[in-house]
Amino acid sequence: MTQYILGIETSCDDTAAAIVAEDGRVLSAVTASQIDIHAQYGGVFPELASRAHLTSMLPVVDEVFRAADLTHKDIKAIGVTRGPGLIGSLLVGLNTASALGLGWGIPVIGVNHLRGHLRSVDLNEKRVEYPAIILLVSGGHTFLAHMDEAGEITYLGGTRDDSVGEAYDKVGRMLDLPYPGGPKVDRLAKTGEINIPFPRPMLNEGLEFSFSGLKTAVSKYLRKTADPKHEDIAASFVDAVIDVLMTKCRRALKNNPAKSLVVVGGVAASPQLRAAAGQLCTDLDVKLCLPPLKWATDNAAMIGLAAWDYVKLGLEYDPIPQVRLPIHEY
Amino acid sequence: MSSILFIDTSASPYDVIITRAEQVVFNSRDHQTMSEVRDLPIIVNYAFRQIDITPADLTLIAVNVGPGGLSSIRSGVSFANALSFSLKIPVAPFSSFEMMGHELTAETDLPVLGTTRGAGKNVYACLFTADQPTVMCYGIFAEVVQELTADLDSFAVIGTHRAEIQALGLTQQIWDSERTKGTLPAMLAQTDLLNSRQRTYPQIAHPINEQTLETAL
Repeated sequence: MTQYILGIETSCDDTAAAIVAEDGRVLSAVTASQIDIHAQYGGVFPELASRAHLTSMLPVVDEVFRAADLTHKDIKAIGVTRGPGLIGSLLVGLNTASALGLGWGIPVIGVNHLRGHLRSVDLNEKRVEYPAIILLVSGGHTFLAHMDEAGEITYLGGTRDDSVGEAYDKVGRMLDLPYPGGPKVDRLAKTGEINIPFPRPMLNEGLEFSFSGLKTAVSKYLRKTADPKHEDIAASFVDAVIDVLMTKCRRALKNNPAKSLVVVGGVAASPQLRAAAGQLCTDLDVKLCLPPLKWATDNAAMIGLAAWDYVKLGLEYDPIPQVRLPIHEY
Repeated sequence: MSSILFIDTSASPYDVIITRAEQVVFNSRDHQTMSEVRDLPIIVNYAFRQIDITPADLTLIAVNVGPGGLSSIRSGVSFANALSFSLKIPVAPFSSFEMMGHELTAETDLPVLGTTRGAGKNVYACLFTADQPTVMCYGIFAEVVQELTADLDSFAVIGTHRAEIQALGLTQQIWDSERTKGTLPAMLAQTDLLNSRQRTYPQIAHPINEQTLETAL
């Protein structure tokens, strides 16, 4: 009998469950979004996120089985995000997964959320050719890593302050765009002109990033400019971000063996980033691997597929929360 | 034969008790190795390895829904709800205040004023009287204490603010239980209460917080 993995993801503000086959097919995926809860705060309010996870978790699990027309008897194991993430949010998913595993008599595997993002590209279709350079850009993370055929990951460099997603959301707030601001900044940018010379922090320094200064530059520009054109600010900000990200990707691709560039995380949904990454890969003759938009942001299907890697490698990580968990760890 | 899993994660150490036919067959307090463990699944899995009962033998899960540590209570409630869901058995919520009240019923007939910390200067407070619904409040410490005890001649105190309550200069006679919390064994005999609280999915247990004081139980 074919068996599947139930993935559970609650690291931040999405309550998600998915049923995933070994080859990456997603039989069903359900996500309860908390955007409406956090919109009034302009960002994720951890205590409210945790409360909402508890209310939504079992209905989401129930729905994912109904949508796939499967029962727990079709499940071989549960993969659940063990970190990194908000502790109150992680605990709801981990305790739920542990109890489901105990009640159903199946193993529960704690999965690194970041490895889930890396695997999101292979959901429903195998896309990545290894070795690969991975750019993870989300609200919580920004880094470059190298991954070989065996799944070994080498961290190449990351942000020293804000993540790209954080910078997008903060600039979105400055431009009076509703939360979450990132996608709206991209949309606004398309209507403006790139005519403001915002800084490109750490452009010529290795593979590290810094976005705090860029965010501050936008804030200062808004303060000192009479009647600022928000669409031009958005266009110039996005241009600066993309310039930094692509310069670092180009450097990483030139200095490391790579057949693919993998761009994952919520910001991978940015049309400007997707277009720029496509151009870079054409220039350097490497394959561009992007997750379908629905798998770019946090989801449980990617956790389920990552959990299959753990099963194949015989890795048994306890479902215990790790608020900080580096990419090279499982 | 009834087998009940009792869970209290309101404070450290977490407490887990399993009963069978009203006899305790596992109590985490009897296992020194579990005293420092802050992960409920580890304790529960350990418990089932120690006894000849399997999770499938359980007939009820009773869980403390607070008030208490925010994340720790949510851990216990999430676990209890999901185990209830997976085994298709009921979950029955009870409060930290009911644990406090039943802890003292053998020692006093006085109404019991229990308190736990809230956010900032706020506290959770409850007036517990045996066989009567508990009355819970959330607010500024002195205000909620005076509100709950205004009509009383005397009462007992339990919880984290006993000294502060006695220092308020209230006119009532106050008996200090000298205890900061109730214990899980105080709930073992409360079968009628727990039976009246049973719920099965899609009904679940919800942690007590300032928004759910009137609906969580």
